[in-house]
Amino acid sequence: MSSFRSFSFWQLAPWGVVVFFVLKAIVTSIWIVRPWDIPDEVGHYSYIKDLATGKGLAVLHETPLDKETWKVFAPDNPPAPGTNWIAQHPPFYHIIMVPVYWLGALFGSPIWGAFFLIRAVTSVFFGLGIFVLMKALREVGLNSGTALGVGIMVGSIPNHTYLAGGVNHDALVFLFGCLVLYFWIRFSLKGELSDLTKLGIALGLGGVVKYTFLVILPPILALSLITIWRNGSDVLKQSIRILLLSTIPIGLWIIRNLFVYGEAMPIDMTSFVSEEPLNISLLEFGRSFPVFSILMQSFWGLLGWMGDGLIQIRWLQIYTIYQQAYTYPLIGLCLLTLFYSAKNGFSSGKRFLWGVDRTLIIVIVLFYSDWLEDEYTQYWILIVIGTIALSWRISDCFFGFSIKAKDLEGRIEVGAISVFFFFLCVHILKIYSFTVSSGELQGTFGRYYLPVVGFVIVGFFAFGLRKFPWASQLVLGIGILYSCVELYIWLHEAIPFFTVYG
Amino acid sequence: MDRVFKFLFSVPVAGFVSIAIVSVLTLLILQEDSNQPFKQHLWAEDIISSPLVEGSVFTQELIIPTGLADERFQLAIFFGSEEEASIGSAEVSLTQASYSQTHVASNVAPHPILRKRFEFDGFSEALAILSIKGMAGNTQLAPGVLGIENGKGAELQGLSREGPFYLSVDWIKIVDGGKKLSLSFPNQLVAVFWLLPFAGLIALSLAGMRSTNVG
Repeated sequence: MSSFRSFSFWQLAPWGVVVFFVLKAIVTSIWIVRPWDIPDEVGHYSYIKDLATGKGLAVLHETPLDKETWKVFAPDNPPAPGTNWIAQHPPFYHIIMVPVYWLGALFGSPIWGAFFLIRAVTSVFFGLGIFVLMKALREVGLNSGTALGVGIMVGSIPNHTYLAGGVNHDALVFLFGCLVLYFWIRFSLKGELSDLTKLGIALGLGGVVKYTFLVILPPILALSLITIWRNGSDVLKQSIRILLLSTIPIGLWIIRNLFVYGEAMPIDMTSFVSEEPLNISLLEFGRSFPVFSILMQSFWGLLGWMGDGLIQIRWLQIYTIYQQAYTYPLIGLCLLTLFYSAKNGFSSGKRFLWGVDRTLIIVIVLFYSDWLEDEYTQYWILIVIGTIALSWRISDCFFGFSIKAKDLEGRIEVGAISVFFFFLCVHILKIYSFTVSSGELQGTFGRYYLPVVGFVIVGFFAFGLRKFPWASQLVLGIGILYSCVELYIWLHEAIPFFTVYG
Repeated sequence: MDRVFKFLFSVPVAGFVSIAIVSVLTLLILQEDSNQPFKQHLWAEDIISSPLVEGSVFTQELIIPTGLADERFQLAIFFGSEEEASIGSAEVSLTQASYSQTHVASNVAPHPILRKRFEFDGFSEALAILSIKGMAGNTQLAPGVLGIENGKGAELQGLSREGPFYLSVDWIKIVDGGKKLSLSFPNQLVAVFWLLPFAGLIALSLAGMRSTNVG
């Protein structure tokens, strides 16, 4: 078979994915997901409205939710609205949405025109994020078909369709996460100043969308500084450029916070305080809760929030059978990376041993810690296979580095893994501290990982997919499976869920 | 062979196949009803009633919630037992004035808890009496029903134990499969517009599969 697709097909197909994804998200956000049924929507909308109507930036613990919005949000609950907890977030998403609010307010009623236009524009951000992700995957050597397939997979996760069409900053966080990945890969491969500048801008702007995004700042800066140092030209100038570009926006926000609150980054801790805090160590915490399983299952699909008008959160966690349909293909992709990492080792006994002994140590530590005790079966398998695949891949890469083999993609994969692990560790520590102080498990939402989705794909799967000759067919096949499962979930579970109180 | 392959994965064929896949899948899903939790019992500390021995009848007043009146719904009752060998059958009836519907749950064997769902329809938004009867052959090893002590409204009647006991029940709405699309979308055109991206993404996947460098 030598029937390649035309160049124009590969130029247009990624845009096709964006158009179809955005269309799906917009129609879903207008007709299926009710207003206020996406996490914190009432707070984000109120924040935008305050800015658009000249009331300025909301102040944490002081600025109330907009009264008109509150009346629509809770029609049967006349008490005065509480303060807007979303005021804790930096304002970049909300500032971008101000002109969208003005435009939307020209159509329909004062609330709905603006509300649905903001939802629609937000879904465009998510769609563009998928596009940038596909471009980033091309940069690390995946062929067009494989990159397209991964884009379709990411766009066929119910949580993404659902979050994309919301008055919520998660879609923009995803877009900036993908932009950072793309420019970081390009700079690491080519060392061009323009890519470094764009990387700095993406890091800086992403940091003023959501604090969570800032977690990727230290590892990306460290990796970029290493690249600058290795390239050896204009080290000081380039280092200052990336440091300034990435930190000035959040620096300005911190200065504002210091004036207003006397704190750099105040956050709303009201729901994380309990009279009965837990007294457990980090190790006991890991053994007591299936944290990874909860993160993963909510990453696939945790729908709903407060759309009932009863001021009560109502979730639809997609059922295990659907989660399995999403998880097992990932296990397959991990196995692919493991297979090719091990195959690399067949070239020399030393290289093979280098992979085996380090992998064994990590797996033994993982089992000895008992952290997997409560994890659900499918995620247990994913963690174990993923850990083995990664350990082997990293060991193999380091063997390559030790013999000075030129493996730029390998460096990028190890870098992407380190960004993800840094993010994971910080998040686990945050979950732990909030859980201890509140007395119950807190902050286990898979959507928090949107800034590092691309890093996970590059770090875990890119190597196997680059080596496997049928990778594009495999991934596109998984894309079809994901699309069918998503359709099934929306039609069979989510539509009834959102209309059950109708 | 190459021509056949090119034809099979051409954009028009991929588009046609993907529309067919989405249409068939949609039609199949619309054949199935969906059960959605409507109102769930309080997750307070559960207690188990006395066993449903032969002839025992537990009754409790329930108010059919708004949203389930004149609709098909399921009522989930939790059976429980601390005995491993527990087994028994129960007759579950819901009655409103002269209107009544009855189901039989045979060989209920909770270890330690079992949720059984019973379907009802045609009840109006008013008071109804739920009765759970221990059937012939039930012994002291028969299961009891699960409840809580700190509930609201009417208590479960007919228990041989003392103290307050409120039956734990979950209300589940049955959404008619054929009505799912019309529940969300104002007309068929919008529904088709929503299904189109699924077909589009599948079509792109199929068309993209033609790219290969494998000989």
